[in-house]
Amino acid sequence: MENKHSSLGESHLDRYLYPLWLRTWHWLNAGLFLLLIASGVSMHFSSLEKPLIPFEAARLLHNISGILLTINYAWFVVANFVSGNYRQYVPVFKNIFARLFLQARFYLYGIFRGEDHPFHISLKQKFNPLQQIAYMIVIYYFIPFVIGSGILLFFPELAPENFLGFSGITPVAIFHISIGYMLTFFMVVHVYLATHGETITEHFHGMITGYHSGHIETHPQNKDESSKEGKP
Amino acid sequence: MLRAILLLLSIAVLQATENQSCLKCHGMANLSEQTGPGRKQHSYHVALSGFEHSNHHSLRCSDCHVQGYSQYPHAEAKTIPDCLGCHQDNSEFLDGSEERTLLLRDMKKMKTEFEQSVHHSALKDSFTCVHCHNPHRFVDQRGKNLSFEERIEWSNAVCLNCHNSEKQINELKTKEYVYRTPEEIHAWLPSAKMHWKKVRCVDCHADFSGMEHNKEERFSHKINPKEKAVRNCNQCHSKESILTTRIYQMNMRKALEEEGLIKAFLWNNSYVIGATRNRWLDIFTLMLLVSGVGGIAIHAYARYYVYRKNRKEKNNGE
Repeated sequence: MENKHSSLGESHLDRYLYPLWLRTWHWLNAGLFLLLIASGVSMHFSSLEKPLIPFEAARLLHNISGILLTINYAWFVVANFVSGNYRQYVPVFKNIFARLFLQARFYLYGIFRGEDHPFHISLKQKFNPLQQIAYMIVIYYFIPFVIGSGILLFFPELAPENFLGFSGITPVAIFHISIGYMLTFFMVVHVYLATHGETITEHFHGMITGYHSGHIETHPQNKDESSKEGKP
Repeated sequence: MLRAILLLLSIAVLQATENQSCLKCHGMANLSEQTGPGRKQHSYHVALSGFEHSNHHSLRCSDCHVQGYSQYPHAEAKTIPDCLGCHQDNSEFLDGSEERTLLLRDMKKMKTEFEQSVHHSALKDSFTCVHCHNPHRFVDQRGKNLSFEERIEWSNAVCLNCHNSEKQINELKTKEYVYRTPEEIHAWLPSAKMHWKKVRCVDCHADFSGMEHNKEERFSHKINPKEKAVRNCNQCHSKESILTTRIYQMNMRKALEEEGLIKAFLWNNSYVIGATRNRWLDIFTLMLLVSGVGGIAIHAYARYYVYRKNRKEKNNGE
């Protein structure tokens, strides 16, 4: 994709942060998350009188969405590795607390004072420190955990017969639901924080077109050692 | 004392001698004949190993097979063994203990339920207690320290003994009945084998109406016709789950007795999607989501307020 746009000039290339594979994965993931949350909540809070989605339909929807999410995640892992995009998710722990504080301070105080974003987006560093930590946990821990426990619930006979004295399926289900809840919470916060561009729609627009329209660091400072790595 | 021992010994010897005499023929695995309408093959085999471990092991054959069995061939007008002949109030076999009284109460209720069951309405008198509860090997597992899964397996084995065997069904079936395996019948049910490990056949196939407040072990002999079987997932998979008034009520009571309140309520030893929820996890998440959304709302409003204020100041400046 980058090559396709090389004729547009350096500034366009620098602004092309989200290649097609990433955007496809992202929006497919978002859609599947919504379906999984709706069907999962419907099954968990299933009601005989007023079901959100009838149980049989919710089960089918949850299973199909879960399988697609797993395939989508496998695709993401491969593309992420091949493209080098995985480096975006590796947080730099040097001065991590100071940088996290800077970012948190901006969200809680600086934004109301009209201060500039403490960390600007660049081709080599798309995430601020808070995003790096949160996305690393979500992408490399929560999603694999929810997929793994989902597979065990999909094939309940694979779940351990007994786990610490409990029926094996119970801790797996509680684990799956807990991670599901945390991912739901993440999604709510993620959508809200996506409104924190220079305009409310800037980041949404970027994730649709691939181009970041706001301020961009073409020569980012060495805030982050990962920027020394090769192209993303 | 010596007399009592001698009496018991002679009864045991008599019983053993008489039973051995019967088992000379009935101990043969291939003892069967074609009988009844349709000339269906009927087995007369009684396995000694099963009988010796059954609840009836101390009885003589003639205690149940009363008349017409003393000569061979047996008389045409022989009496049909009647379970309720013993399992009734004035039976000489009952010793008045609590367990026996419970057994009797169950029997009366069971008879009424059974007479309303699909087995009775379809097969009338050709279907009796013995078709499910083979008296030659029946072992009452109540009161035994079985796991939840073992209880379910024991209960379902009673149904599957026939429904898993085309041969057994053919011995009884009506003309309209087309045999299909339980797997074929339950092809619509997701994770059917998992369901069979966690619920009893009767939990979906029997009528429990009027039993909601019964605190005893939950069982109904009123087996419904297939059209009335539970098929709506929400009937079990919901807060109002019918399972909580059936097998799982017993399970929860057992968990409460053996494992205590916290473990029983926090973990729910058996997980049923939609029916067993971890309240604390749900409450914690709800609080997290409410505070998160509340925080976002306050933050968003503050951003909007600052934005409006800045725009006003900018307009005033211009």
